[in-house]
Amino acid sequence: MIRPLITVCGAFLILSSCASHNYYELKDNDLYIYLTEPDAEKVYFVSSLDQFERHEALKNESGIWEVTLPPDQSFIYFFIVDETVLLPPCNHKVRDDFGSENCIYMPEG
Amino acid sequence: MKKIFFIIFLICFTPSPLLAGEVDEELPMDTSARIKESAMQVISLGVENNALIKMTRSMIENHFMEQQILESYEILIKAKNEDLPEGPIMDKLYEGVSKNIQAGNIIQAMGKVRSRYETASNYAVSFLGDREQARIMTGNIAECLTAGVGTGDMDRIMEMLQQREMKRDKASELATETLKTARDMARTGVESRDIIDVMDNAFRKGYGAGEIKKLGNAFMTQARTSSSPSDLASSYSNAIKQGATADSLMKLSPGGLGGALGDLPSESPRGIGSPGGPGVPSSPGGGGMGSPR
Repeated sequence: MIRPLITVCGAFLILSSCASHNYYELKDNDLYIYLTEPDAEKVYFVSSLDQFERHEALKNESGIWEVTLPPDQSFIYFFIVDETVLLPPCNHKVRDDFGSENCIYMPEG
Repeated sequence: MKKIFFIIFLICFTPSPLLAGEVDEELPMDTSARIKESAMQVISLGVENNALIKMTRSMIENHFMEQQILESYEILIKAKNEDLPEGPIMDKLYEGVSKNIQAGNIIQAMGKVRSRYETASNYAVSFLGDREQARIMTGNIAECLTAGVGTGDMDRIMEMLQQREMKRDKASELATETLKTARDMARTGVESRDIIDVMDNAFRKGYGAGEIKKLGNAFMTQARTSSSPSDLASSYSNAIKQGATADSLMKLSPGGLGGALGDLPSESPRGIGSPGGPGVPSSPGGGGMGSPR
């Protein structure tokens, strides 16, 4: 009984650490968007909220890059990681007319 | 009387010397006269002068050639002459600059955006018969096209909408909700043909604007935790075909119809978005960088 339980827990922990490296969180009336790129030196967040100006993301205590945004607007976004455009594995996408795509955040509800 | 009309004509159609001065002052000194003249022409068509100056400065700073700058103006002029919005076209420039895209490709992309809005406008005007009323619908259709709905499929959606016989305001409402739902579904990766299928079945069952809106909300809620939005869309199609109401779609169990046709609830976690994976990090301590608020 214990062995299968340990196996399941172990698998869960492994899968957790291998999980998608991008996600968002609604917390305290703010939208947090995270990016796990531990080896990156500089990460910028870019969105349609302000005509695609670059905003430097900060690394939090857990070593994850994060940005804080208003939660109630839809916008398209991408990251620039050490001068390379990174399209995270987001749920919602739109084409970018440059042969690639952008992520799009759509407020819940 | 003729004199008065002549003076009014001069005021309306001669670029203001004040505006010319602003363009002169705000652009780098070595900006060519051709660019400045062309900028004035764009502004005279209604593009906000600060916005155009900002766009021009961005192109100059990013080493666009004169011909490319003039081409970008031509795109804006064409858009304004067709009563299309310039905002999305200008945004495409900034997106391209941020991504370090080559200038030529940025200009091409700006042209694509204009073309997409032209197509969207044609659909909207054809449906509503009124260019003024068509503006909002143009935006919704353009978003559908950007999300990946093909023009052939958009033809089909508009055809389905045209076939619904209802009063103009109801038709407009239904079109709005249908387009928004189609857009949102496309953004999750659902293929156009599956979107058409859902809408076709919904329309056959007499879904109105309110029901389509509920359908869209239910789908987006469930799609957040679904491993296959396409399969979810197929489930919706089948459920609706078998008589599921819009209210019951939220109860649709993954891959099945039982929830929507019975009383089995389904749960979807809210608040944490993670594409296909568990694992949220421990809550970060410090504040993140605030992007524009």
